[in-house]
Amino acid sequence: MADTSVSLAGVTFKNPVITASGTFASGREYAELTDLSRLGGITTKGVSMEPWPGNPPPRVAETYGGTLNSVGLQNPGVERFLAEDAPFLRGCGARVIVNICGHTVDEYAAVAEALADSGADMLELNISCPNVKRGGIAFGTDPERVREVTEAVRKKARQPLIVKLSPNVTDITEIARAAEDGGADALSLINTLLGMKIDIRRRRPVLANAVGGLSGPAIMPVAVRMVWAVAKAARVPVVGMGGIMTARDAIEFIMAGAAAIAVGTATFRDPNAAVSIAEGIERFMDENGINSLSEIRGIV
Amino acid sequence: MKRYFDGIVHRNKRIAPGVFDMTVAGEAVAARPGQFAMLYPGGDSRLLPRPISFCGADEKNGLYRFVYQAAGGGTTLLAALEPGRTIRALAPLGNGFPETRPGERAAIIGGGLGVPPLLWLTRSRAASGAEVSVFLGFRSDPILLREFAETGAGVSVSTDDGSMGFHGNAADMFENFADEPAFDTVYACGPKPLLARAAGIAEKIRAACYVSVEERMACGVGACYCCAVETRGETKYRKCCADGPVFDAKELVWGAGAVG
Ligand SMILES: Cc1cc2nc3c(=O)[nH]c(=O)nc-3n(C[C@H](O)[C@H](O)[C@H](O)COP(=O)(O)OP(=O)(O)OC[C@H]3O[C@@H](n4cnc5c(N)ncnc54)[C@H](O)[C@@H]3O)c2cc1C
Ligand SMILES: Cc1cc2nc3c(=O)[nH]c(=O)nc-3n(C[C@H](O)[C@H](O)[C@H](O)COP(=O)(O)O)c2cc1C
Repeated sequence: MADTSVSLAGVTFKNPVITASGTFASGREYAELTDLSRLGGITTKGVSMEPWPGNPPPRVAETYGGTLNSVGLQNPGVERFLAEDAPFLRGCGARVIVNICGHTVDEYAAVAEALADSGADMLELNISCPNVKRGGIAFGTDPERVREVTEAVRKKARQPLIVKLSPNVTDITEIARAAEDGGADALSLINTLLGMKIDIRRRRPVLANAVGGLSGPAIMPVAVRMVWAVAKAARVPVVGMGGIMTARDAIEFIMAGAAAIAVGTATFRDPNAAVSIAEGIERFMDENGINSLSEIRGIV
Repeated sequence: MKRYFDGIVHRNKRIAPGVFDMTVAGEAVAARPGQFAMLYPGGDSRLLPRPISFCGADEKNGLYRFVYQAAGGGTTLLAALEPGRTIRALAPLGNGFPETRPGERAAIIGGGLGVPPLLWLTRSRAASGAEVSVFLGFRSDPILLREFAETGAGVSVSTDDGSMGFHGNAADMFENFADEPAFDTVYACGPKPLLARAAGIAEKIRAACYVSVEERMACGVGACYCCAVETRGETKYRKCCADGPVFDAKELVWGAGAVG
């Protein structure tokens, strides 16, 4: 039997499949539809210091092989996360990664500090969400700011820190290096690609926010290319995501250099997608005589 | 308990121009009026499931009925499914209409494709002894009228073009009826302007009002925060799929986020 376990910055996952932030809440909504304990990890929705209201609806549009969203990081804030979600996550049987967001460097750092005793195994710093006008994008596109926010959060975080990169940049490896310089213990990518859809009957954008983040299989080749480039350039492990629908998709990311992978939009089509992908990876390993994913990681 | 399953299409029949009446045999799950299912059109180009309300259910036998319009690409694919084909579904979802109170005098107001879920509501209210008056508005082709009449409820019909019944929409028709406070509760489903009118009339006659609202959704289970509905509460946006689709009309902010 193949050993599907992987290690990220000293944290061991029983398999490389993690749910992507914002697509799985804190897992509770899916607990009756899929076996959470068979996931490698769960990444929570973005958590901020204060409650964030999010963007006006419509917040989602379907595109060919993808979805556009402009949720705007709606969340009830870290206090309620700690009271309502953290206890559930501690008993879910999978590793827990808490995704954090903020409008300022201080806010990001404060959330990390508040999560010290949350039971989270890792933190993921969302410097890349394209939805919030004042946050996200400004940090994720400027190497200097990426280093600064990573450093500030690294100082306060008790857990290993993943920095999640935005694909909406000219050279993602430059941003990856800035995150490493700031002390990132791992990198994850890609967040959604900025996109837009127009309702030609109404002659206006489908999303109330006009633009949103594109996810799903439509973005996968872009994501594979970026993971491949970053994995080659970075010293720390990489979590790959963007359009993964099947185990074969996941294997592409691993061959491109990902230590682990995350599944997001696929869950909207099949609540059991992440668990099926974990099973499929194990089957692929058995069929191909692979004992450990390190045999194929970054082989391309 | 929510279930994700492959159902079998038992029947999928056109009952009006562009409107289909589908029965799906699937897993036996407890469901109630006002709840909905996510139906998956399939294929890799359309990833998102389509929310469709239950028009009825025979839960013991795992039979679920949906009446839906072939409105766009996804529902047109659903309309093309022949009996015997499989259809993937996630159900039951959402809160559904609240329980009835003994002796309730209920007004049920529906417009267009908001009418189908009200058939099940009308049946269950009528069966539990409530006094039910139904006001249904259509553009021009009414649907499900005979079944509404068979529930024993009083049924009034309107059409936008005046080809049948009252000339106007269901809210106009209801307003003519509702000048005296003859109802304890108003239930409404249909286009947002109709819901807003129904809520306004309910307030005037001091009746409680519950409306079933539509918003664009992705996950259907409350995980992704896509289907935001603006409310007056402390949390500005609540989830159509998990906190709704039925809301107490007093909680809602009208005018934002209509889909159509
Ligand atoms: C809780 C709920 C219950 C519903 N019940 C019924 C019903 O019983 N009968 C019926 O005919 N229709 C119902 N609708 C509307 C139905 O979901 C849409 O007509 C359908 O999703 C359109 O899909 P499409 O692929 O044909 O259209 P497209 O325009 O191709 O769809 C593109 C995307 O937009 C979404 N979308 C488009 N229109 C709507 C809409 N009005 N509401 C929500 N999402 C939309 C689709 O789901 C899809 O994700 C309901 C909607 C909701 C939210
Ligand atoms: C509805 C939705 C909400 C998301 N919310 C967040 C979020 O809160 N924080 C974050 O870092 N990424 C968020 N993402 C991005 C995903 O985690 C992921 O990076 C992206 O969707 C690509 O993966 P996928 O194609 O498998 O979905 C969100 C994506 C979607 C579709």
